[in-house]
Amino acid sequence: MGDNEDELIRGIRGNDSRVLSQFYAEQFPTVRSFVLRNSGNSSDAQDVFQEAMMAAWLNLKENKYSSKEGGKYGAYVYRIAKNKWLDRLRSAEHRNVNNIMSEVSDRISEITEEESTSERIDYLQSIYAQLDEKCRQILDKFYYEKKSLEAIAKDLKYDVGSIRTMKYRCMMKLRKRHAELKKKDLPKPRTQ
Amino acid sequence: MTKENLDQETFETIEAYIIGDMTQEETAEFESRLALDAQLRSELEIMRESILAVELGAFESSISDIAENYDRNNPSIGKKPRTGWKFISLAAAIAALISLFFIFDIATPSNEKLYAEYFKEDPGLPVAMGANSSYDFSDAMVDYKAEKYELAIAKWTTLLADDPQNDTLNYFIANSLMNSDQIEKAIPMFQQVAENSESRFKDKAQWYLALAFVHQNDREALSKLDSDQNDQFGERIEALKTAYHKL
Repeated sequence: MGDNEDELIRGIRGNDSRVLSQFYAEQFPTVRSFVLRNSGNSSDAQDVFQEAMMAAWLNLKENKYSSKEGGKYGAYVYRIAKNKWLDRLRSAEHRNVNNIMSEVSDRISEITEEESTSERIDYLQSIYAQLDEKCRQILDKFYYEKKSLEAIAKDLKYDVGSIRTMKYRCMMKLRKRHAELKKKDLPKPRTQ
Repeated sequence: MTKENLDQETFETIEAYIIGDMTQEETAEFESRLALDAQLRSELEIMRESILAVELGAFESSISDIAENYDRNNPSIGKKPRTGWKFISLAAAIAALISLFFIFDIATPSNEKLYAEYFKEDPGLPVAMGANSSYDFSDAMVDYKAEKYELAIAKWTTLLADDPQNDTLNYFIANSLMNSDQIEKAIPMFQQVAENSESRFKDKAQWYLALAFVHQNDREALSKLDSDQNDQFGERIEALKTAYHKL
């Protein structure tokens, strides 16, 4: 249903927790079945599904996913999760080189894109890791939950002016981290 | 090239543009400035990245909470069943289970049965696959998920020496201790996290603390536990207390 899919995409872009919960409940069992059928357990399934959700979310936000090329969003997430699990199995089982080469050549473009997304996630996580708990609370509420400064001030029991200043200072920490990473020549963001 | 500092006013202007909090006129004016100012364009891209990093971090937390909630409401099927030996082992397995049931029922104190009924291990945090994440923390998390608790404890304890107030480290070391039946050692660490009003693990830590008190049969400590501010687990803690007091 086109409308349902549009609503799903809108909900994910808008960080709607109800949409995300519903999506998780609908899609996770399929990934779990796949992982359990392929030498994994429920905990492994949770890991790869969460990683896949993050990768798909990032690609959606950066306009690298489209339903035309990627199919429905649920199928897209499933494909990413499946590939992540198969990659783990391959690296863990140390198959002989010939097998690996033929499997790799079959999906070389997918692997390149997945590695690129993983690097991107890694880079963004290393920026976010700079934040202490107080900064995370303020910035998560403002940029992810899209709460107003007044609402955040009420939640955290500060005045609005203090929250505004703290938000600025926290973002300057991220700015500084960005500059440090650039100097070290660690994986840079892709230019638009 | 990035300037040393970005003043708050310019920061808030760029932010308003990114989050769509400008009028049409303000947007047009800002875009004219952008066209002429390479420094401003650079700051815009940096801020876009920073906001995306925050959103991704918060999204990761959100998914982790959703996963945990799902897990609580949908108990895991468990590992892939082994093939073969089905008929021969089935009768033996049933007989063993029945006898284990009686042994457990007779020999296990009622508080430990209550603990076993309510306790579910924390699944841990998703592990980032890349090389630039906090490697030491993630490395120990992989051990935790593989149930190598002593190894996880050792690695995280080393990190804790440099950052003793770190709530994430304290929380997961406590979980590792609890999962390896070192519940008494886990208690002070869960207490520290539960009393940290800024920690995202405080509600869960208080839940595990309640379970630990049940296991240790510490009636007084369990009664004193105040879960009024516990949004996520307050009701469960009250249910646990009620069940414990009925023993």
